[in-house]
Amino acid sequence: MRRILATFAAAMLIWATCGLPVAFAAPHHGAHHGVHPDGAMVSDWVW
Amino acid sequence: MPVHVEAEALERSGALYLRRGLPVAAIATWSRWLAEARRQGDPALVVRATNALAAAHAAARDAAGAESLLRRALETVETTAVPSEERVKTHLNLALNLLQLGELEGALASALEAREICAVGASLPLVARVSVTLSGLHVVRGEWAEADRATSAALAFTSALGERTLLARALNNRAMILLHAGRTEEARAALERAIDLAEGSARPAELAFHFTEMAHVHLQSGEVDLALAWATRALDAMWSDIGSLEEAEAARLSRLFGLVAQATGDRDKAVVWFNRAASYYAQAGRMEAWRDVSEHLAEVLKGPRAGAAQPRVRIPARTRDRLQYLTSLLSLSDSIASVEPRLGLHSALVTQYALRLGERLGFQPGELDVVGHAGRFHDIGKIVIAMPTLPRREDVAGRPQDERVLVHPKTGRDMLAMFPLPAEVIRAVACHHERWDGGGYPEGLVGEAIPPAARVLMTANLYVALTWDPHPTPPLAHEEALAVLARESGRALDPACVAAFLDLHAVADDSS
Repeated sequence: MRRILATFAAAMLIWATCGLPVAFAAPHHGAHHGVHPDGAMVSDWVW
Repeated sequence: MPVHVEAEALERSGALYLRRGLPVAAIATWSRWLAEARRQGDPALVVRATNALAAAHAAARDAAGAESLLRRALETVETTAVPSEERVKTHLNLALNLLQLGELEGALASALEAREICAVGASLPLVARVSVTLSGLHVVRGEWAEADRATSAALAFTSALGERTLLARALNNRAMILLHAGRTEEARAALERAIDLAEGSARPAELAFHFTEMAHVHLQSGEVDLALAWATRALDAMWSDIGSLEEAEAARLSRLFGLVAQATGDRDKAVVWFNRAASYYAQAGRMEAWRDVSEHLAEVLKGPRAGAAQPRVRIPARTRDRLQYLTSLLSLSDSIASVEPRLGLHSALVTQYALRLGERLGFQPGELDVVGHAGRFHDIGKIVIAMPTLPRREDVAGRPQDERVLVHPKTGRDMLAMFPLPAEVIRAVACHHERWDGGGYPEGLVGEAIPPAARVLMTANLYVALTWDPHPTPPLAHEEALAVLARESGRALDPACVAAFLDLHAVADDSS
């Protein structure tokens, strides 16, 4: 359990400092289902 | 299904699958529709089927798959005579896809193209959708004058169409423009109407966005307690729609709570939540948003130290805990997903299917919440494996060769136990690889001893692993996967879950 917590804490630290994730940054979802993460709203997909 | 199925029947059943939230079956059906359209050699039909197939890929959160389809549709649109309605659809979908990928410039160009073709001729529902999209795009880009014009058009078209969710979206954008201009009262009125329209018709996570905006209005008017109340409503709405919630949305909520904490004089919490939002924006490469949050953070850090002043309004512990859980776990699963993007996709899809299956089995809202949260984070324990691995198809219902994979349900359980979650969520994550016949891991539980949510997750997990995960052998076709599920009934899977899962798809077949 202690090892898991330590690993978890390390992962949180990596996350907080952004060192690792920046290198791997995945393409980021701007809008999903009509909503943009900045609060603006658009349409859903049409077919 | 008969061998020679008409294109129309394929179109209808694909649409039914998609409406029922079953994108994999929709992709399978519409792929056949597209092949049939190509065989007929009708370019308009090819473009229609391609747009539909791209929409199904988008519903499965496969933006890359959607994009390559849309690019092909665009080629057809530009080189052959295709009705303007189909051309508008293609440009609109492309705009939405580019927005999803964060390419605002391209999204705007595509939406403007769609608007231009609308002038040639398009139906009102399509014109209304294009206008709302343009309105939203200009707001996101901070082009306020253009946003104002586009939103006026959007309000006119969506009012004429009378579709509540769409009109609410236009009103939301109008409120954001008014808020930016400091016209707080008018912004509040627009949002009140938007919320009124959206309640009962929009999905909870979408409602959360209206609530978030309302909290911003109250913050600007200095009504901190009301801002906190709306922010909490937004948090609760996101909590109950965990299946479709994304880290970007949680980051925006984090920023809002940072502002609320700052306004209440709770310096420590403001630092924590601004930090959380800042690290997301940095990771996502959204430097302007990062700068904005960092400036707020610097401002808070310059203020008096903790203990110097008592916060004027207290943020309840339940709210703090929920926010802490959502933001930290979403950011962790996002970290895993940035190393292995398909794993993020896997969890989202499993959650979607598990929720549909839970609904079909007659689960109550509270039980569905358990399925949603457990589904979203069922593989979170893989963070301890140095390089996160995709679920191998044979590992879902069998014993993994990699010993490290064996521990991930327990690790996930221990991680989730650190948060204020219902015990059922934690238990479901711990048991999501338990087989009905007792041959699963980690505990080897048998039958009814496995919690219902875990049995639902196991079924959804196996289906998604079979049809979608690319690793290590090519995925199975949807029908083949259903046959595997049927074979595993009473072996790896709970027979009731398998029956309900087949039923979920069979109904769509019958109604086509």
